[in-house]
Amino acid sequence: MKLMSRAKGARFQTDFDSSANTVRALGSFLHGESHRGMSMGPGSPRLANGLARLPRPVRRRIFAGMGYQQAIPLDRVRDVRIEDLDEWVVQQYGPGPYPALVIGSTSGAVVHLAAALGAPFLPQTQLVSVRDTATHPDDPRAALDAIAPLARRVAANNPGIAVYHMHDPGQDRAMLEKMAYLRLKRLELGEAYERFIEERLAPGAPIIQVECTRDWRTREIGDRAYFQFGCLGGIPEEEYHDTGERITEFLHTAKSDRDGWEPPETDARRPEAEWGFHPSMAEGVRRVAERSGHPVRRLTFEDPQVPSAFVADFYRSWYRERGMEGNRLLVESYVQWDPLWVLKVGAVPFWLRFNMRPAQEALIDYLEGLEGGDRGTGDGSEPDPYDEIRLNVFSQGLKSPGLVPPEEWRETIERYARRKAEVIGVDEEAYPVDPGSTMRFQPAFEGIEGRHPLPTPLPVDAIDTFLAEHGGGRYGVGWS
Amino acid sequence: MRVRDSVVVVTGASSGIGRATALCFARKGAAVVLAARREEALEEAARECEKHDGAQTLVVPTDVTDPEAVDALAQRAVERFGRIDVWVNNAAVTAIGPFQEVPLEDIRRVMDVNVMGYVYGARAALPIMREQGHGVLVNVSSVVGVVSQPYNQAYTMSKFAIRGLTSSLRQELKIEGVRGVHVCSVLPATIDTPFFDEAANYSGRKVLAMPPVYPPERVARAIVNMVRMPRRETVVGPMGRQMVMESKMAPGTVENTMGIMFDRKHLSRKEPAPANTGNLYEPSPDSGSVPGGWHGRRRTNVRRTLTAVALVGLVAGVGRRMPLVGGGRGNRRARHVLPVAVGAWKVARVVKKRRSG
Ligand SMILES: NC(=O)c1ccc[n+]([C@@H]2O[C@H](COP(=O)([O-])OP(=O)(O)OC[C@H]3O[C@@H](n4cnc5c(N)ncnc54)[C@H](OP(=O)(O)O)[C@@H]3O)[C@@H](O)[C@H]2O)c1
Repeated sequence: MKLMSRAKGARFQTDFDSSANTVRALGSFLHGESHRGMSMGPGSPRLANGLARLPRPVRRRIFAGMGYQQAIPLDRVRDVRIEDLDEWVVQQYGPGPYPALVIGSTSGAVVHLAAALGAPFLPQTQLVSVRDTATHPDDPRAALDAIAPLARRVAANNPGIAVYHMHDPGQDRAMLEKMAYLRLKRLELGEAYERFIEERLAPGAPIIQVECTRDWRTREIGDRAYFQFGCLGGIPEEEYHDTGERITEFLHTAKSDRDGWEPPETDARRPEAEWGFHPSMAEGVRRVAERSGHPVRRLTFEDPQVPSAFVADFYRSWYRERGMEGNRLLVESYVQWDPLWVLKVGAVPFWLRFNMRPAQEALIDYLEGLEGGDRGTGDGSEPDPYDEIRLNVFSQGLKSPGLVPPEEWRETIERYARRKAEVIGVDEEAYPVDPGSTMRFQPAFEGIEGRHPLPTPLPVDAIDTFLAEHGGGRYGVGWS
Repeated sequence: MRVRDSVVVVTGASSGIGRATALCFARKGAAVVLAARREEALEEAARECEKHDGAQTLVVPTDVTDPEAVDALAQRAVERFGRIDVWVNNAAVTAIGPFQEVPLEDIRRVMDVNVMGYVYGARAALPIMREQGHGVLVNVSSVVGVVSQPYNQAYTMSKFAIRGLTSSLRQELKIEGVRGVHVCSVLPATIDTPFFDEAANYSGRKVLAMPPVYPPERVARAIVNMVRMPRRETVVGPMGRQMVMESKMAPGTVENTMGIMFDRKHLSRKEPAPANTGNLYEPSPDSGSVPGGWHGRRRTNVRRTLTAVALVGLVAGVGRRMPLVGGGRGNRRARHVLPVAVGAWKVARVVKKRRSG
């Protein structure tokens, strides 16, 4: 029975989803394994190089093909059950008992935070993608109409969730050509998660509820079913709804026959489809935690990018307490993370939400803050820059607006690294149409010299101590 | 009955099978009365008819859910041509989707057009034919009137109902000793018409024509032949005949196969579709046409489907033969299933050879 569920859950799962990769990476990590090839495929740079040598249009099509292959055929939509997906999640972890649990919104920084605590992560939101070869990516109204019956069906079949049809022809364009995204957001804790808390946590183990408060304008398309146009990325929310020259230019280079987007009217701001936390679930967490004697701690922030600086500094101070220098930064992006190898090579992880301008700004802000004195925080603190900065970026299959080219990434890190700045695991010629990108990142992390023994997990109190010393406000994170 | 110089009324003549039927009768020298809601499309169809030896036509825009309008249609035909020799009940619609999701009023509307529309037609035509002492009433049902389809409840009900109506009327005429008036039904398999694009649809998936797809002219010819030599019922399209035959021998198996085939081939697995009422309440804005543009895919799919049917037949046959699987009953039937399966397999091979050759 469970095995069936797991197989089903795995079939509905979308491999490149941020939540799925958080779970996979931490599942691997807690089993002592790496996140090579997103914990699934081969992590072979040689294969990746082979793919990168293909002509660009072919590579472009590989992306669309990969999307299509991930998407479920429309006759399976009626079988989608959040319980199967949850079951898949809990099957990624061992029997425990775990010293802590992280639950809620996903973020790359949270991956590393959970790893430091030796904690598994249970996502509130999961992605199911469905085939759609008919809808024009640049016609959001048609997309809403076409997918609404399916989104409503999934919502009707799954009373405990909200279903978001998320349509972003900017960042997800390569995928959207052949599929549509349904993000399933838990409104209740659900039986599988409840059992996980009851059976796999050590007595008194804290539960950290991660709440990303980012919302987005959306439109209700049915009971607990919503349409969201655009998502967090290189294009500001406003620009999705009021497209100007930049979008027109992008559409022309993407060879679209449209000059702009005309999204449907929206009716409310709701938790952002991919990253946003829906507060409905909190009640269930509280109830089960109370019943089974686990304190609930809350980590809140406005944007998934925000906790990156906090987690980087948290790691840095942890390394230093262990007598290491903590002067080696590894900048990761999207789902190309590896909690195991970050620790093995003694790198401080700084996660970028994607490969776009806002992510670059977040990185610059962080690095600038370490310059000390009048630069940085301006509080006259001692400068504390990194000696080495390595950076890896994800390839999403097309040049979306706001994309930062590799040269510019290199310049950015060269400006702040004292000894060494390197863009690693990226085929700069092929980027961002590099289908082997996910095979390349992890071997590149492994290639960083120096090895450190794996530390024992930190207690959750370590966050209290760290934030008491440095102040959560400075990082934009709330901790209570 | 002689087709030349006969007077033929066709409902649903603005498109698809009805339009092809009107054309076919005109070509054979009959006068045709064309009825449907779209006047322009009917006029266009009438002009096409007239190209053949200046065939006589009459266009009567009619909504078949209105009994008075249907009566008026019969009256106009009689006024103009003096009699009605053939009446083809053909206008139909469908609403596809999970049972709970199709609005009740859509289900009712399908029954109104497909069943009550035929009832009104029969009530208008039969008295005239009985009076004349001759006439043929052709009711276009479907293979779906024998083998049901999932997610197509109202349509299935209507097509079963039409066969019931046809047979009941036949009995009545027989008992009452009416000799020259015939009531027949025609059961097409999948036909290349705009029908699928016009369907009301709540499935979330684009409606496709389930292969193999046959040309509408084939149904038109079958209807003309029905008039020449009235029979109780005829199935159009070898695939349809196959299914109807198999459904008599292994009804459960065919029911299951049709269910699966509908889910896989009749509704797209990759093209979603918005919820819409199709042409249920308002006719589609385009000018109507005979073909629906599904024919090109026919040959590619014919072989595959026939192979599938052959396999199903084989399984059914084997199942019937093995007491453990089939329950031991119906061994006699198995003898029919196997040759049918082998036949389908042979056809599939020929098609394959033709394609590769
Ligand atoms: N296509 C197939 O695969 C298939 C298979 C088996 C059986 N059939 C049967 O064949 C018949 C014809 O179908 P088709 O495939 O030719 O479909 P079609 O092209 O959609 O034709 C349907 C016709 O019905 C008319 N109609 C719809 N609602 C009407 C109303 N309220 N009053 C009057 N006319 C109305 C339409 O014209 P307006 O919109 O202008 O009124 C149109 O002329 C139907 O009985 C169908 O069940 C078809």
